[in-house]
Amino acid sequence: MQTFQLSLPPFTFQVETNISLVARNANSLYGSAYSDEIDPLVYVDYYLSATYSGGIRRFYKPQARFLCDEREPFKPLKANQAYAMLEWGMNWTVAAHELQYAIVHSAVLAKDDKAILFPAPPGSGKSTLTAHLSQNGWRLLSDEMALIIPGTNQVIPFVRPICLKNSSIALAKQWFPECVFSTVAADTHKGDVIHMAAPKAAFEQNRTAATIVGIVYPNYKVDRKLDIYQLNMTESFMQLVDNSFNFTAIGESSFDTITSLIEKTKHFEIFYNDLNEVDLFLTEDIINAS
Amino acid sequence: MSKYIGKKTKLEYKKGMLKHPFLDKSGLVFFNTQSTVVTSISVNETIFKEWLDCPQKLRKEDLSKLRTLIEQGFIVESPVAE
Repeated sequence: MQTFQLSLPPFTFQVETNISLVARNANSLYGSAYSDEIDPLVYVDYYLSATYSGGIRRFYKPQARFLCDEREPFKPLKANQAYAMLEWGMNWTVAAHELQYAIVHSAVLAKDDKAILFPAPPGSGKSTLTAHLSQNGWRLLSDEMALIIPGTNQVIPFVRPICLKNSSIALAKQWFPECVFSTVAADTHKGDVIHMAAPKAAFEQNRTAATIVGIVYPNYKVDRKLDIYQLNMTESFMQLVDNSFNFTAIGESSFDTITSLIEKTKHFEIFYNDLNEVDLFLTEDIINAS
Repeated sequence: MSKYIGKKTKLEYKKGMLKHPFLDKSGLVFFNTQSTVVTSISVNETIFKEWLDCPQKLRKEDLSKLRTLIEQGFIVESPVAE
C-alpha cells in the first residue's frame, strides 16, 4: 500500500492506494504538491483511498473503490479508471463537505487577478476552453469548481488538473505536446477521459485570490461562429444557482453572496467554435473593460 | 376570481422568505430557506408591488405567476382594510 499527500490549497488530502497507476499519475500531474513522505505535523483535511476491490474478482476483472473518510460515494469502477475516480472523488469530497465557501460548478480563469467564471454542464466545451486559456496567458484557478468567499466577489484557487474527454484528448495533446497528461481512463460514463496537469504558474499562485469580474456560460458548437448574448441579472442568477453545489445547504449567506456577485459582474452566454475568438472577446470586453 | 386570490385581498411577502430585486430591474429572485426552493420573476420591483396591491386587475398569465409564488410560499394573501 502506498500513501501520499496532496497539498492543494485550501485543502490537504492524504491518499492511500494499492493501484500503482494512481500514485504514478498523481506524482506526474501534481509535481511539487505531491509528497510520499508523510509529514505527521501537516493538518490533513480529508483522508481518501483508491484501492482494488477485494475478492476473487480482482484477478479476472479488477475494480477500484474510492473512499472518503470511510464513506463510499460511488460504485466501484474498472481498475484502469482508478485515477479518474480519485479526481472525481476529490471533487465530490469538497462539494459535499465544504460549507465555508459558496461553491459553483465552474471553471475559473484570471488575468491580472481579474477572474471569469465559466459555469457549464458537461459537453459544453468548458474544459477544452479552460485548457486553451490556461496555456495562453490566463491563470488557471480551477477547471471544476469556483470557491467563492461568502460576502465578497473573491474567488480562491483550487488548482487541479484539467479533465478532458473524448475528442478533446487528441486536440489537447496536439496543441500542447509539452504538457503532462495522465493515462487514459477508457470507457467511463463520460467516455474516454484524461487529465492534463495545470501549468506551473497556476501552482505558484495557488494562494492568491482573484476578483470575479465576469460570468460566461460557454456552449461549444462545431458549426457556429462566435455569438455573444448578454444576460440580464435575473437570468444569470438562476443559471449560477443551477450550477451551485451547496447553495441550499449554506442558505441565506449563499443567497446574499450570489445576488451581490451578480450585481458586480458582467454576464454573457456564448456560442463558439474558435477558441482564439473567445480569448479575444474575454480579454477585451470583460477583463480590459473592468 | 382565482382559487387563491379573493376580491377583497391584497398580497404581501411572507415573513422569513428571502427576496432580492436586481439593480438592472430585470426581475426579483426568491429563496425559501426552509423548502430550499429558489425562483425568479422577470418583472421589476415597482411593477411587482403594484401586482401585489391589486392582483384582481392582472391578466391571466400574470395572475398565474403570482399563484405559483403563493404555492411556493413566497407571498401570502392578506385582507384589505375596509
